[in-house]
Amino acid sequence: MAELSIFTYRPRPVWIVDCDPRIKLAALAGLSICSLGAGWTALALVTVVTSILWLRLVPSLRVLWNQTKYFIFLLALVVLARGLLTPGQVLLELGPLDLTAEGLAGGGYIAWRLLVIVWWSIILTATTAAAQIRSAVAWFLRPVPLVNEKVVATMIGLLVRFIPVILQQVRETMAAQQARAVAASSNPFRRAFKLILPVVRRVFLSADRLVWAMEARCFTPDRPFYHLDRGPADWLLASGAVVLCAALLLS
Amino acid sequence: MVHSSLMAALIAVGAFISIPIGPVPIVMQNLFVLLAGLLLGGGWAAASVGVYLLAGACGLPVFAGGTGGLGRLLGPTGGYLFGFLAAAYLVGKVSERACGRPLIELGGLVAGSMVIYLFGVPWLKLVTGMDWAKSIAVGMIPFLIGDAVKILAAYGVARTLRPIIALQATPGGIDKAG
Repeated sequence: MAELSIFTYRPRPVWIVDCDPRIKLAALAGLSICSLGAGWTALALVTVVTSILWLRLVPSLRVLWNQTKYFIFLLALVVLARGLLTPGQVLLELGPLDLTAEGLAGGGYIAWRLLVIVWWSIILTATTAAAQIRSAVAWFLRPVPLVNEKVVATMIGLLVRFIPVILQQVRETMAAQQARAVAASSNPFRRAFKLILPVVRRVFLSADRLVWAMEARCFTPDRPFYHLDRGPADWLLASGAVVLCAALLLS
Repeated sequence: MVHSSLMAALIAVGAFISIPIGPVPIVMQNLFVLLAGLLLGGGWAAASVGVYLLAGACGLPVFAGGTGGLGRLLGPTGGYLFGFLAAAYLVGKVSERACGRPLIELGGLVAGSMVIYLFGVPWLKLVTGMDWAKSIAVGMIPFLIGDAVKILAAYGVARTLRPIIALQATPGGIDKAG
């Protein structure tokens, strides 16, 4: 995750990069919810629109495949499970189970719908800086009672910042343990314990030093947020999202 | 707040750490959820998981496989993710009241693991359209052995780390702990 990927924000010469993150988040939420009851035709329309946007963002669909192949594998399992567990016209007999056309169609529809939603979320992260997302989240949480939006937004900022650092610590710990043959143990409890303990210990020991570093750099929940502003591109995005949501709902 | 944020980051990283045991590898994500409850208490543990879920819902790539977005929360495994929130709170609350008694804490960990399935399996059934027997067979049974290992590991790690965290809370404690 620490490596540069399509999930990582990079300034790109595409209009959606300059859009207000609040509109992007609202569009993502609206499209995700509306797609739950979408028909095949509307889903096909949305897929075409999303693919056009994708081709503007990534050099090739192979990059997209490499980044989402684990999720696609999960979806393939969903399709297979539905295909084997739904009664209907038998396409293939696999021992005690039958692969049916109705099951494959139902599973394929679910998988297609989920894949499109995940594509949208990747478009969001690829075109929106973490600071912009932090500001947008704080803006949305402002009216929510009992939630301090500044603290939540700062926690999200820390979470994003520390994932690569912790991953690096995990890699170092695993490499050190492999060198000492700890990973060769057949006891799963011992392996889990020996891996997790030093990692969590290092993380907690770094917490106080992190607080000092944050205070020294005035990194408090009250520091200013990213300036959010709406322009013509935002209205274009909002209108497009409303049209697609309507198409998904009416299909 | 910093401990809670770091725990949220650990939960995100947990999706990438696996120990291969038998056909189903043990993924460390729910171990960190249980650990958050044991180390942070109910409120901050729930805050930790809540921030993790919120970051994922906003599209940040913190869910398994480096993905994010409402699609994952509404997908087949979304119920397990919501179950994390309830489990962290439950384990934290039980741990706060257990006062270090091992059996109560272990009972809380078992209950927390079951709460994850209480959310996850019905959700899996709803989204994939499988019946109850198939949903339990696919979404719960294969992970029970791994869960037992994770419960023991989380308890062991928490017992070892609590003195260090307590030492950190005292003035100048970080230097002694480090």
